[in-house]
Amino acid sequence: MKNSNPAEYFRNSKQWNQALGETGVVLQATTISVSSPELQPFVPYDYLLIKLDSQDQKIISAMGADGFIFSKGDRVRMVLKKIASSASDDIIPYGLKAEKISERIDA
Amino acid sequence: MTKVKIIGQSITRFGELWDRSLESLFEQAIWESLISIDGPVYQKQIELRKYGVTTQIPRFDVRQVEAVFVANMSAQAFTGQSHLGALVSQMLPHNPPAIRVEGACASGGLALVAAQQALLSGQYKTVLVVGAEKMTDVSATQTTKILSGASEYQSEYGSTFPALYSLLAQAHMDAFGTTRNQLSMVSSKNHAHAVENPKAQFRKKISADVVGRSALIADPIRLLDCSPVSDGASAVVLSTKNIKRYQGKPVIAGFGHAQDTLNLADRKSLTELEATKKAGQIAYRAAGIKPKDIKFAEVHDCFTIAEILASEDLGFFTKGSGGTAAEQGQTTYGGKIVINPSGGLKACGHPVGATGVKQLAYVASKLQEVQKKRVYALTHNVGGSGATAVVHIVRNGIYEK
Repeated sequence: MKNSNPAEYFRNSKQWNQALGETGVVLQATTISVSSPELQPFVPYDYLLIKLDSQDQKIISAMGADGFIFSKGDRVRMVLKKIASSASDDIIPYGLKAEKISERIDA
Repeated sequence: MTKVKIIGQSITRFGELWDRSLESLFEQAIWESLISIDGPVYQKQIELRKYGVTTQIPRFDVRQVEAVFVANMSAQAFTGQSHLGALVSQMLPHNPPAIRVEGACASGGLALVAAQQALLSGQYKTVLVVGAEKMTDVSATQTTKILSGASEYQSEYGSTFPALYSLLAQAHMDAFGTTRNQLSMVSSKNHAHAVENPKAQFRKKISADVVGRSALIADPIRLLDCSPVSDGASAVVLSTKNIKRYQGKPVIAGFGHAQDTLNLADRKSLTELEATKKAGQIAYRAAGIKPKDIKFAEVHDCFTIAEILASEDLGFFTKGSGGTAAEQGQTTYGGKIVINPSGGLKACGHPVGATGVKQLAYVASKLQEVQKKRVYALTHNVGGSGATAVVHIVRNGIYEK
């Protein structure tokens, strides 16, 4: 979730709590090589569909955290990370990303 | 039963038209569509319109246009211009009522739906639908940001449209074994079709091999899997008037409009676009025909996987076989059905607000060339990653009164 102003940041922070720390499995993953200006510092980054273990196995989408290469079937945990570049006097734009906790295990 | 006829249509050149403004594209499409109805008053007479477009004077009395439906996604972001209804209305001498319709890349299809509902309700008898987008005055990264507004901005933050369609492509590949080469064949075929279309942005053949080696955008989607950023406009004049000189004009036999969740993560399936299936079923039922009756179709190939999904979801091929059909040449001349004879979004271009209108204008112009038998064509316009879908079925005017 992007936070372009303090009020939006406040509203979105309530949403983070629903998934923060949750674990899940990657359903689909793609590596983005071209993105919008605010996301250029992260390129290339992964974008994922994730099925959470809890919350009735709700499916969410999120960016993958830096330093990981994601594949279908990987186990992940939702963490709070910087999700966009910003000017030095802006709010630091934090949001949910996925961190890999284990590789896909084929049966 | 009231029939909606396409009595006039026009498509401007699509492409990177650096010397053309949004206003002049609207103006050109409007006046050329009006001239297409009955031709010009004098072949040589030239009239300069407000935004610099030179036209002939239409023989058609433009005051018969009772309302205008304007399709556009993001003129405010691309050019700074909003209030498009008023902008377009003033291009006609009698300032007809005008409404802007926005549904991302399906803006054109939705404007057509709104126009037909107004016609079929009896409110109006003749209306103009015009769509335009001026996209090339901003950088590619700005364009990516503007277009990402067609996804669910908060829940899908970080995504791009190529990324969302890449997730669909990977799901299709996993489920049905769709291959990289099959995606490439869609692009190669549409580029070959566009060679014959003088309005197309890219009139150049490219091989499947070149598509497969182009720059990676979001794995597995590559640059030449993607429709381009384009400027352009298109217009159609629709009428329910049953008068002699409109006999033989193409008729909208049926249309359907359906929605799915905006957020890809909330979809029931990633291997089909439910809104396309529903809109197609509604349109087929209204027209009283089956998918096998469609001779050619303009479908929403914003990415190559989108054409494969559409060819299955619209019933032309069974689920999972769309990639194979493209690879075997079943979607071009000599195959089962000709898909995207204009070159589609991929090669003709994709000025977002214009696309849905252009699809209808293109099939209408092609159907007018068929005089000896009844022929059905289909158009399919999608918004976002499949959240909005509009399908039109059009038949030529033979045997029509």
